[in-house]
Amino acid sequence: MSAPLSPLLEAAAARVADGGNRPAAAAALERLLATGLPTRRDEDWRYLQLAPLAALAPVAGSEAPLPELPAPLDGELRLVFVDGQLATALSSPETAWSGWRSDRSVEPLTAFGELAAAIAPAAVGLALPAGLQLAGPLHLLFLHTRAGATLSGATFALSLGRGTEATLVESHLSADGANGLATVALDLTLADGAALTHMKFQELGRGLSHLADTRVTTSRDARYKSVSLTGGALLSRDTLAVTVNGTGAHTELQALFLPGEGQTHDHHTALDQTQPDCTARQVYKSILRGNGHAIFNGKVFVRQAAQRTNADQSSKSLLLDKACRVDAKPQLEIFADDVRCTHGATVGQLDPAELFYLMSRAIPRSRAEELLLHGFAVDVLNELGQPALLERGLALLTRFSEA
Amino acid sequence: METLESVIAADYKHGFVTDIEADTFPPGLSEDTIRALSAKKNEPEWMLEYRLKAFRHWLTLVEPHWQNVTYETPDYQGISYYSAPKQKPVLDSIDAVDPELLATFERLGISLSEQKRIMNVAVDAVFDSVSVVTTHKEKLGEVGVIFCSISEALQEHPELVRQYLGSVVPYTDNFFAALNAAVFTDGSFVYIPKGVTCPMDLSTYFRINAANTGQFERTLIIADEGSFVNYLEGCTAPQRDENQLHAATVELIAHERATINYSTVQNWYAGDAEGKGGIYNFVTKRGKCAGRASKISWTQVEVGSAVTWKYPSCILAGDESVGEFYSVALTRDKMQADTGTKMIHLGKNTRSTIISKGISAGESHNSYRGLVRVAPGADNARNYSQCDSMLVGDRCSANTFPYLEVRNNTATIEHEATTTRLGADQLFYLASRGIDQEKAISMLVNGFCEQVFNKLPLEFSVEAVKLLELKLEGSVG
Repeated sequence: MSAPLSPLLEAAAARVADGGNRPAAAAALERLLATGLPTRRDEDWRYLQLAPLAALAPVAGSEAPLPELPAPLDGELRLVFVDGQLATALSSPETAWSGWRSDRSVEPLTAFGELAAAIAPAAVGLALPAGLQLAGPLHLLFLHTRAGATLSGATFALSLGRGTEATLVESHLSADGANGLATVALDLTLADGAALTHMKFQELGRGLSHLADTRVTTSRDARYKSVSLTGGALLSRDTLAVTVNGTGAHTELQALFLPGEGQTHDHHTALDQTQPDCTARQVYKSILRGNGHAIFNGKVFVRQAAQRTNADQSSKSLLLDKACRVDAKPQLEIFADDVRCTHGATVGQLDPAELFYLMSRAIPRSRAEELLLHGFAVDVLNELGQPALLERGLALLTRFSEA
Repeated sequence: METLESVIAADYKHGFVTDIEADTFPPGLSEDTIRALSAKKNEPEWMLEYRLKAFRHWLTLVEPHWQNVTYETPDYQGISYYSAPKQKPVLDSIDAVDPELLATFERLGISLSEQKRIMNVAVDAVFDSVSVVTTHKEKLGEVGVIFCSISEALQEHPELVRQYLGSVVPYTDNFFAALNAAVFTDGSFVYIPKGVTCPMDLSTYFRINAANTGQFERTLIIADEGSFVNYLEGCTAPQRDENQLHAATVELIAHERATINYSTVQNWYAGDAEGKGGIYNFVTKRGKCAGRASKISWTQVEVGSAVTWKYPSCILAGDESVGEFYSVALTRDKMQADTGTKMIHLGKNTRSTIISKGISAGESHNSYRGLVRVAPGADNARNYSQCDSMLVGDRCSANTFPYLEVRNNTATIEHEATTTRLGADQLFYLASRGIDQEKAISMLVNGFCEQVFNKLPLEFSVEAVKLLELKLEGSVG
């Protein structure tokens, strides 16, 4: 006899049934029930407190007013998801994008990704045809509005045709008092010569836990660049897996995560180089406050065929308070010999000599600290490129340093 | 490049078997085996109790499989847990040793008699399961240093063994540590009294000879306040088709201001080119810097074993204590190594250094796995880690799995890893300067491993360089 399902998995099963057992959702549920939710015994989850999430008994919750939405970016195509449901009223007019609509289902990476795929009200996706140039970025806004122990899931699949270039901005925002578990699964594929710049802002309230899967598959001469800023949520876990399936491709992964008092920010990345002559660069930085907890696990695989791979990875953490906690695990698994691969990891605190120098120039301590934090984070923030996004990134850092 | 391929078959020169009459237990493991073993060694009652507790705990454990290696699980009931050269009365002098045994050690280049006296190294030789001879005892005794087999220590200094055995690696630590605690047969015991700098280097030589046996040795080294010791360890085994298990436990304890330098040259039989045979080297090594300003340094050159699974670690409990780990691990053919270290910072102002050099050739898998943990109370901890991998050929793999766990913001932790290859272009450059191939390989490998070789005592350093050259011959193309 099998053990009774936890309230969380039971709720997921009920949502799949309510949604008329969409095949993709039913398949995701089946996989989820087969593996169950991970625990700390699983190597990939060993540093996270998952028990409270697994024990969640989801409720519908009461609605709160929408949070303030960021001003539209120049020429943006906006899709808004409210508690997982695509809100057409808040999104760009359907005529602007319905021609590219795709129903490709996502392939999640983790059990929480499967959960997202199971409970997502609908599969949403776009397939941008070869050579298309969008007028502005594609902006996905995931909003969370419900108070109480809520459960939401959303999925989004994006396919870029040959030579298509696009910018994807992903924003996660919540109303005051919203709480519960928010899951999301993205699946991005890049055809030959396509280029995608993917920027993610996770600015959820402290009541929410954010578990996100992002699967990226790239082809010959494709360029994928990810810049991920993590500021919010009680517990935030990003699982990002990039599989490079073509020669000459370039991958860049950057992140800045800022766990403050009571927060845990976890970034797991896996970069799988399967073809020769590819380059990759990865920079993950965290600044911690209070008893904030940062986790970084970065895997780089260089398969036997992937000769002449050039891959760098660096992870840096800055600990501002005594009770901060960092767990870093950069990993290299290399099966090809003609490669150049490096990784580096550092953990440290603000240099007292640097602070002293600035203070001796009559800069107050708080301002001196802010300057140093800014200096630490600036190379990741600069990757945001557009002034409006850079401003948003800087505001996130300022909020953190003033907290 | 063909000339290179042709030198590939560097044979294992320690692969001979010595025909010595042995007193061997039938295969199998049960409480009765342990009782018989303990009785044979005339052990005190508490030791038997300890072994039985460990055995009962072992029965509750499952063999770990998280490490990055694949192997056939040994049949623990198919191993003989005791094998000793038959002629084993008390050996007072070298002359009483079986001449065949002496000849074995001569062939291995471990002269138990004259040479080592001149070189000023005291040797404890362990043949299969038992210690056969320990040299230089008298001279060491003059300054109060105890250097003997652990069986002897159990008879002569039971209070010391009882106080420290299992204090760093308790039998509950892991599967192989539990097995070792239950069935260990011999090993070395060292005690350096307060303030004594050990007048000579101490060395243990391990040799597995009998077929179908496992070697479970136990080493315990205690350095009392302000003392200093260099300890060297070497190991070989004959060439056999089946896999043999070697599950040792080594415990080091350094009290206030004491220093222990522990060096290993591990050259167990690694199996043939097809991966048949070879030793499973599943070892638990750990040192505890118990006192203030104590220091433990591990240096290892790992060139043998079919499968290696070993993490010599330091628990930096004393304030200002220092831990070091210097490692060269070479794998070739179908060898697999998952090795590294753990540095656990507990005391204030503790420092650790990790330098790991992995060389993979053939179809081998070489992984570095290391943990640096800074506990909340370990203010101003400092760690520097560097892991470099060199790939020779395109069918091998080099992996790095560092774990950094920091719970204190005053820590400064740095980790760096690089992967490069020993390539035809480098060899061509050296060849164009008139340096022949063999010399060129040795120069490049030596340069790569220099930081580690520098830490080895001179004789070992020479041996290590030779070993690497021998093992790498023909791998480059």
